[in-house]
Amino acid sequence: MRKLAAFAIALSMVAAACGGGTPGGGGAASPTGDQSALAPGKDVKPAANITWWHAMSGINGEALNKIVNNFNASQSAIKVTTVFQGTYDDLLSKLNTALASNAAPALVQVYDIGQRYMYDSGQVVPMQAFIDRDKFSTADFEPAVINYYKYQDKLQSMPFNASSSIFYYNKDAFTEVGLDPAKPPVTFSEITDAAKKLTKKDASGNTVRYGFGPSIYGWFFEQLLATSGALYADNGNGRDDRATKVVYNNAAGKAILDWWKAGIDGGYFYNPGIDNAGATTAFQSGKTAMYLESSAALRGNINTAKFQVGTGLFARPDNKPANGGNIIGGASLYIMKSRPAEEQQAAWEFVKYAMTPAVQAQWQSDTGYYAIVKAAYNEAPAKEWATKYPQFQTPVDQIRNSPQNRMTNGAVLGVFAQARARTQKMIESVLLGQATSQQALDAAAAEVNDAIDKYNKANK
Amino acid sequence: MRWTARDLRSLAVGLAYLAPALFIFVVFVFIPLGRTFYLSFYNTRSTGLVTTFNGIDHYIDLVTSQTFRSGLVATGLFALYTVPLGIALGLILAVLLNQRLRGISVFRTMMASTIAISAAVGSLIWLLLFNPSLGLLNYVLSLAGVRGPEWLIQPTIAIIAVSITTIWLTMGTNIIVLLAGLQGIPEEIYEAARLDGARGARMFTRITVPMVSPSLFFLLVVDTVAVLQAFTQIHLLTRGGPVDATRTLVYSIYLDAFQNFQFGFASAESVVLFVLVLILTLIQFRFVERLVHYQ
Repeated sequence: MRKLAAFAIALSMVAAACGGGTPGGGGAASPTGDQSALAPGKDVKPAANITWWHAMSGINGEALNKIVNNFNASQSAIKVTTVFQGTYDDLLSKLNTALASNAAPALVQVYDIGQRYMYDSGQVVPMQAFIDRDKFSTADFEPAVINYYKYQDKLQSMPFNASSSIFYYNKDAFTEVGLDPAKPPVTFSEITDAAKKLTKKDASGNTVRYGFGPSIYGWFFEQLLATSGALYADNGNGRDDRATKVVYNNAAGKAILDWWKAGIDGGYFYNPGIDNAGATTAFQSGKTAMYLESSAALRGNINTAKFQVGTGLFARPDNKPANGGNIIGGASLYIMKSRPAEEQQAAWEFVKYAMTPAVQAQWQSDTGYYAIVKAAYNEAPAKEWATKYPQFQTPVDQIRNSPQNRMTNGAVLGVFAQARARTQKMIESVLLGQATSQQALDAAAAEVNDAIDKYNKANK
Repeated sequence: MRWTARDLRSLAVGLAYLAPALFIFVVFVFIPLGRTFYLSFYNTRSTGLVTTFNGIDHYIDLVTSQTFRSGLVATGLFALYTVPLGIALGLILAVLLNQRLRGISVFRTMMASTIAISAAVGSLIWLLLFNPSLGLLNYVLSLAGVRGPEWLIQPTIAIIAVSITTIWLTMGTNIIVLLAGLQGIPEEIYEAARLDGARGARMFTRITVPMVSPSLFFLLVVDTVAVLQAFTQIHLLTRGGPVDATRTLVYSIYLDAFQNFQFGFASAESVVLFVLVLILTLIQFRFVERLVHYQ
């Protein structure tokens, strides 16, 4: 029976995470007008020590700590300590628990799709409050990035690491099969045609190279909807008002799934599952010749692959929709309300530092996320980087050339993590032949709408 | 029986000795357990703050949900693939390792070594082995002329892949427990059987298996509960996919609580899982234990 006791402990851990009241919840300020009043007064002395929770591992984590160390060395009043909290999802779970026990840090990095959740938590001091108070200029920020994080024209958080999803291809394979390595395919039909040419079989009929192999990642579905000029959720993608349902179970959604499924059935698309790293490995090892991935994977691809890596614009339908474009991804920084005013003040000082062009340029060249402040591109590290990795211009141009509208701003949903996981299951069920495109779209939409409904009732 | 002063005194002394353990149990087991029951009847905000009473709606949602039913199937398949095979393999290996040979302890240590490997590390090793582009497993199969499957992509194969990993992870413990059981069998019993003319397979089924049955029963109970609680290998290998093929009840609890932040619903799932494990364990004790031969 000891095992039962152990099980009870496991249960209790679940319960403990759920337990406890939340201090000072609710009550986000009016979304209009000057928000200076929500920030601590200008004369509040910054705290000597603050903690920053982040989710950057590997070289990105090192680059992040470099920023912090330089900040700590640049002045003596504030010392920022970083704590790595695992993946973005892990971090949000831990933040949730920490809020319940009043143990949240002053500054947290939360991923793109967590913004509605953070807003509804009522635990955030809007970044706009500090911006309004100090007349901090965001005029030089990349519009696509800043628009993504604005809700009803106010910034809840400061964008920190921004990326976009792009198209990667194997230039050597293109040359081998007679495709122009300087002209990557963009539309669904172009990708399909190229994939057919690039697919290679051995003597016994086994496929040794597939044309195209994106992972089943909900983010790509969101991007494909945006390049199709279609909305993900109602109420202007949840940006004019709280979203009440998802709306992707339409012709645009069906076209995406039908295209993907036809490629798999034809044997020239490869299905690496939901594993993004697996899709990257397949591309780098030559098992696939083209795929989709974040611009943040660019450096790894160029350095690891034994062939010339090309980059192109993200896939879109054959007839270019006038409203279509790309959504940015990445994460932003939130200042937490539960910490004393002094700590909030210190966090803001650090955020301002992180947004300086020199820091941004260094961050870009260390990681492959792109600089949020345009002036950063004039700094030495960014210039060197641009010479070394000319392919990097693709994501920057792509995001600058996207029209700015509700489709390309991307959706805002309180249950986005769940919704994204559900679209992945939806794509899987179509690719594996368990459901037709329309059935899968409708089933996913119904389940997500139910979740949105519950979320909206619980988080009014 | 009447309570005398002496009885009461010894009760008080007994409780005093138990107090530290009781305290820990109450704080870390009973209170959270009670809280889980409580939460399962309520709605919560995403931050976990309790909002409104929900009656038994979470339980109704649960039993009527397709995901719960497919979760039961996944959990059942997972247990079926993992427990019997893991114990049978463990027994075969333990019998082999029970031979008296020079240097056998080296092999014993090797075979039992997975006990020292954490589930996370073991899962990552298998994730690499299963990798469709670089995976060693399919490479070895291809040398034998077999085209290996896409281990983690096909729903029916993915649950097998997770089961293989689990069997590998539990093998060390199984071998050690069974080896200890085997070494506890007195040599005289074998000798007597040999004199009676028993050999090979007969010796194994009539002497070895009954004599080691307490260990087998112990592993049946412990492995079943462990499998019902398995999390790490699922999280690292498949995240419950493809299309929920490996979304066991425990993984559902995790997703609902820590991805979807539906704490009330996740608590209801926890309660259901708790009851299921309790029933299963009681059945094992009530019926299977009869087959156990205690010396």
